[in-house]
Amino acid sequence: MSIAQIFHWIQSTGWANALRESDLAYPIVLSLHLCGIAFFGAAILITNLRLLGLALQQSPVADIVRQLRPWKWAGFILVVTCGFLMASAKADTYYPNTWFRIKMLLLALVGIHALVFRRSVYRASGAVLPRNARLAGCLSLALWLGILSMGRWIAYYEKPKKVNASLKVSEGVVGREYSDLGTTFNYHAG
Amino acid sequence: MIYDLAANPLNSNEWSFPLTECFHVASMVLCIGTIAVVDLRLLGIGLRNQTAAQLVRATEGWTIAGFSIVITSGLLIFSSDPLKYLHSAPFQLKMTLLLFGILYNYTLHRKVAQSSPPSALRFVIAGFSLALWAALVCSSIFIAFW
Repeated sequence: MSIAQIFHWIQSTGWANALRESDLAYPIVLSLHLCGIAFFGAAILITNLRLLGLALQQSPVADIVRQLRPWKWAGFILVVTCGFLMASAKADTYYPNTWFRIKMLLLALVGIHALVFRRSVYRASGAVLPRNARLAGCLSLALWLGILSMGRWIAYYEKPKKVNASLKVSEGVVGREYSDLGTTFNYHAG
Repeated sequence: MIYDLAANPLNSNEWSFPLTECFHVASMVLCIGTIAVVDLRLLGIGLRNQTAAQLVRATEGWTIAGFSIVITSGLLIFSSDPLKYLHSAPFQLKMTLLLFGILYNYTLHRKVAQSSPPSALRFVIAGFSLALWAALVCSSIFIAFW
């Protein structure tokens, strides 16, 4: 079974069909995805700001990291579950989507980042800022910003060779197609 | 004077609109996320070794920075098609929640978060704050689906 076939199988499952065909379920799952990003992204943000020495400098890194860990995991599971559901509803179009692939690659790098800095930074005890703390914080912020951006860009992916410019300016009509959002807005310019 | 939508850079190239949205979402995490840190502390979850007042002090600058970028990028997105947004019910709800949320955050919410000893009202104030910002996020999503 190739990866494309696995994606196709996921799309044909009951829950993926139900999500794709419901008018309400998809925006609700997307809303939960974004709420998860807003509330739990904060845990990652605060951890990294502390590692960079930009917030809560009076508290040891280990103290902040340890207190936020369960909260970070809860958020991660919520966001990934919602993300998986949305991707499975349109798995066939997600599979060739370059931005989706880059997003998955960056998520894998987040895992590697965690393994690399786990002992030296995230589990370090003591009041002194670990030596690699700033590096770990910068890399983590960059990775998550990349994931966030790729997530937004997935909606704007166009298959190569297919002439379907997302922005067509002709005869005074501008049409931007929100391909992933399921809605097309058209308006007359001028 | 007729506003020519096609002349808006957000409508005339392929990357500026999604890029603006990325700034919008990232700065949304910055403002709503930092407020949520304080809310969760008031509910007794998260950074419990710090007081809510300490967390307000540590995050208030980031919250302001987040609000500045989220509103600036939001105005840009609005300019890409003002009439569509003005006539959108979820957008109207979102703006109402935003106005109310900012007022709430810098008055009642702040007062309770900084009170010492902790106010008995803190659970209600924090729960309401979380619900309000979650509702704002949901209303944003529904703009595209209405």
